[in-house]
Amino acid sequence: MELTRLLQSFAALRPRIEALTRGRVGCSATAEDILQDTWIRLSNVRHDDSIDNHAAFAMRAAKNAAIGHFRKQQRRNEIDAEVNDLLWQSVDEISPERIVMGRDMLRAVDAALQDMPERSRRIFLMNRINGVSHREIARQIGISEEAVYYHIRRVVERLAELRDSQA
Amino acid sequence: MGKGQERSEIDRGVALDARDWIVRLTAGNLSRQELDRFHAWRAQSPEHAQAFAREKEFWQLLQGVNDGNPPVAVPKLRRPVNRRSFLVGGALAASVAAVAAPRVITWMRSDFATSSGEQATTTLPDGSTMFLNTNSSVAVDFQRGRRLVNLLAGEAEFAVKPAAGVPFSVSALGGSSDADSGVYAVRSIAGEVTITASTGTVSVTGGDAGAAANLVSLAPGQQTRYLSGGAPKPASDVDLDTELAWRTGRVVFDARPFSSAVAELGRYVSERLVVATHAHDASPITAVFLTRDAHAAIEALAHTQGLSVRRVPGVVIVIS
Repeated sequence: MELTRLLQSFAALRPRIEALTRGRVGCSATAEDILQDTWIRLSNVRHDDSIDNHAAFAMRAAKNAAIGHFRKQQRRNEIDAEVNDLLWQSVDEISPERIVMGRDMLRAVDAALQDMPERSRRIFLMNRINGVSHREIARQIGISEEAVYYHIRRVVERLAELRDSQA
Repeated sequence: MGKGQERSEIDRGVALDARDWIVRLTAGNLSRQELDRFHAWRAQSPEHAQAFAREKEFWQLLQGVNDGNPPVAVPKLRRPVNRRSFLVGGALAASVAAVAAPRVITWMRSDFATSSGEQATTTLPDGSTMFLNTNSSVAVDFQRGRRLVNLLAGEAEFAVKPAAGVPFSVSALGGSSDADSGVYAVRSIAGEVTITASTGTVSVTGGDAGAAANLVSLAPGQQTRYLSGGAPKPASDVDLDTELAWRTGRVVFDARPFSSAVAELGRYVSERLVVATHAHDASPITAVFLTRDAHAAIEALAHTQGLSVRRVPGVVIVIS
């Protein structure tokens, strides 16, 4: 495939664009992603004859991609913060006697956890104790995100059942 | 019986949905659309909100489970609630509160405590958050125009929600640490109080409160100490990640004397620690341990110094 003039300009400017993007986002891995993204976008531009300054166009596309990245990052941060509040900031009335799990209950939970299939147990602990995301667990273990969800859900159901039976 | 059974079937379904949401919310890459769907689900009825609150509490309590792993060096842990979210969360927390119930500062006095190896987060009546470390106890005294927490022993971090004109005070061993907003930690161990500011400004007073020299103002990233009834030392800069590693279930030693490192780990076990005198000249420790398995950590620490550990569970640990 022959490179369009736009992509040729981009390729020629790449070291400079890369340095600029890295300066903007402060991380070379992220900058790499953004450049990749820019390349794909530029390769989708039809009729690049209508662009009179290919270099400037390529530079601007990289800049827009960096801004887009920040927006996305910011949205992600907002969602994460909101989820954190939902999960960890208790808005219910405080019940001091319930803030720590009873020793007996904890022991029963530990035992039930030991009885779970090894893979389910491991995935659950990675998520609950080490805070690893479903996506990252899926990547590390080589299964789908849905399967990760299923394993965790299975453990949670078992433990909730145990809790309800002791109540 | 028909009606009751129907009722409990519905409750069961709602509980299942609540757990489904817990697992989705903690997946780590929830979309805005899913979050909106969650809000809509929870807003359906008080039963839905209640079911979610119950499953959320259970999920929080599962922090205490044992994963059976020995402590490892420099584990990458994500804190349950990070400091950034406290900061970003200011406005969000307000909006969450508005959805749930108008929050009024009610008169309240109660005690919170954690035992060995336990940590707990709780929301105070004004919406501020308190994170208690192991073996800690506090008495809370909240009234109109007063937000006072008395740290009786141990360590806690406070994320203070601003309240017009009402400072948040943590008293310990005759001194007081006050802030209008921000995040700071107070620790009271072996007759010494240490205050570490993460965000916002903290005013620390101790000894003769009238004397100007007895007030120290902490900027973010600064720390001060005072002895029981004494005046605080001048503020010094500290590494927050090391100082507050306990927030993520770790304890970090940077060239720490052996006996001091062992004493620190000892806070996470229920046994009394006895260290033989000849063990005190051991070389300094640089390591990261998980507080969750402090017994294994103590053992590992002792072995690096060629010392043996004998343990009578629940009673005493002898290092010699």
